[in-house]
Amino acid sequence: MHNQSVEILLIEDNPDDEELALLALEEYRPSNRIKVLRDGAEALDYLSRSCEPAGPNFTQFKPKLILLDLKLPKVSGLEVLRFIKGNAITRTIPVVVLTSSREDRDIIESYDLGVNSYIVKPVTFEQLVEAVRQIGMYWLLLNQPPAAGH
Amino acid sequence: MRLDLKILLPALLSLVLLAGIGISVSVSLHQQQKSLLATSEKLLLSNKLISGFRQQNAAIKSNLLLYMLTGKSSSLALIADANKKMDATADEYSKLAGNDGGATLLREFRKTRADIVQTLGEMIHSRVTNDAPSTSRLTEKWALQHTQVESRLQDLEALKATLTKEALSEIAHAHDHMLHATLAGILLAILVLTAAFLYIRHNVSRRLLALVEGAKQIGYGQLTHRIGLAKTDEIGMLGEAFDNMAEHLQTGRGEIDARLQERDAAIQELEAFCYSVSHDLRAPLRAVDGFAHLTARELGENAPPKARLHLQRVRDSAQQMGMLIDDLLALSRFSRQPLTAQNVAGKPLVQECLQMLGSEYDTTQTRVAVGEIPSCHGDPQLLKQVWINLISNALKYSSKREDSRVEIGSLQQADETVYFVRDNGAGFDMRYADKLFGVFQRLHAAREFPGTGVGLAIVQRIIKRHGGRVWAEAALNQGAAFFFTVGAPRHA
Repeated sequence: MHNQSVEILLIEDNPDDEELALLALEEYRPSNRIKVLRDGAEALDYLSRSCEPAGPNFTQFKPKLILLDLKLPKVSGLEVLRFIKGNAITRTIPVVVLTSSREDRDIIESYDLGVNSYIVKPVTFEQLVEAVRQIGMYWLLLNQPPAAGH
Repeated sequence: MRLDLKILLPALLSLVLLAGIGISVSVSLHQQQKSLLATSEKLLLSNKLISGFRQQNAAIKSNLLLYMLTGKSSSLALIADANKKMDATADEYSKLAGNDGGATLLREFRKTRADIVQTLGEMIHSRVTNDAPSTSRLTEKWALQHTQVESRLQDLEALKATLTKEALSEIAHAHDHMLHATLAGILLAILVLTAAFLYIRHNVSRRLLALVEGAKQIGYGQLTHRIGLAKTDEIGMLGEAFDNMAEHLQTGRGEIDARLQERDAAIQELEAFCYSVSHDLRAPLRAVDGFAHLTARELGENAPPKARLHLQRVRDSAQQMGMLIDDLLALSRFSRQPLTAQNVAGKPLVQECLQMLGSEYDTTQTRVAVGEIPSCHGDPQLLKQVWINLISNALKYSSKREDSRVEIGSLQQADETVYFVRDNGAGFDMRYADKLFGVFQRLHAAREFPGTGVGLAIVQRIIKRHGGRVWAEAALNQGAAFFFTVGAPRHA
């Protein structure tokens, strides 16, 4: 069962960015177990179902990292972030915002809501691969999350 | 009614009242004087006449006694003369006597006089005829009548006293009347003036206070306030002028508010547009670059060299466009970002910029000299961007020379500080100096010196917002110098 669990949750609506991100992740470490959610509503739905003990995803739910785009259809990335950091079960999951926006208000509001890291998507693929490699290295290997069950 | 009329009318009314009083007083005094004169004249005349009667009467009495005793005819002539005089005096008196009882008295006097004259004649006749008994009887009769004449004269005298008293009391009465009327007139004038004064004071001061209050309210920006005075006089007209002014100000402010709202809406739209640009335009660029990269990799080493070169051109263009978008957004951000002015130390700021640029440019090859940089009043973040753009330009355009030099410093001109960044690099032709600060304007090929042509536009935007000036001096291949002042910070 544990092998089936999701390691990285990628919330991204742009198919190009999704594919590039997946390719970059693959380049960094091919064995990632990644779940992709394509809009804010889908993300909220998935997250809230996963948080119910009787829910279908509960047992395999506990990603080590959430990569979150801010500009999402239906429900914005900031709303998704608000849900994640406002919920006792998801609060401890590291969230890295990966977005095109370098607007001050987005950055400030993300940190106000408790984001763990804010990365502006680089334009070149090499820089994207490098960014994803460093994110993975830091949050999946270096960083010490709380023990399971907390 | 106009204000000056309001003041003038009661004043005139009082003046007319007072003038009327003056005239009637003088007329009344004149009449009193006249009647006093007439009364005294009458008194004198009547005194004179009555004493004349008495004299004649005495003369008749003494001459009659003389005749009766002596029988001298000269006495008779004197008696006749006195009688004549007595009649003449009575005639004179009759002119004096009016309907006041004087005429009646005079008639009785004349009748008594006629009786006594007859008795007198009879007495003289009895004396002539020596009729002693008759004489004796007539003498007694005469004596009686003589007493009667005296009594009549006393009556006339009493009448005279009564009339004089009446006339004097009439004058005194008229005098009192005049005094009362004068007093009443003066009181009335005072009353009119006081009433007018109270009315004007109440009316004027109340409306002046309303004006003051209105001016205050309008001054405080309460443009809906109206004083609302009726336009009856100058104060009312002033009130209306105030109201009109407030009306115009209100209309004007409404227009300004509407314009400001439009402007705010436009700014918000612009911000939304920038946000959208930053997100939406960069996403496809990432895809272009990423997939070009992946395609090149998938083609592998065996791909035709031209295909690899063209894919590289695709990637370069995507990256160039990414930079353009970033720089444009920076320009917009530096134009919008609110100024937070404070005292900014010059030298540490320049050192910080040099340190930041050290990773991008090889500053070991270039000799960088930093002179006096006085502090100034401005936004530290924005001024830092000015220094970064100017110094990075200097480093970039002098980088191709062996002995590249960059000088950073300041000059004191008049009473302002001019900061400068000078290099001995590529420079430019001064004929194109006016294009230097335009967005996307470049004087060098991207192949030679990479760049987007936004850096100096940002510099100019920031310096303008600080109320300063920026300009350049250069010669082709002999270096360039950029100067700027910071000036008083303005609120953008």
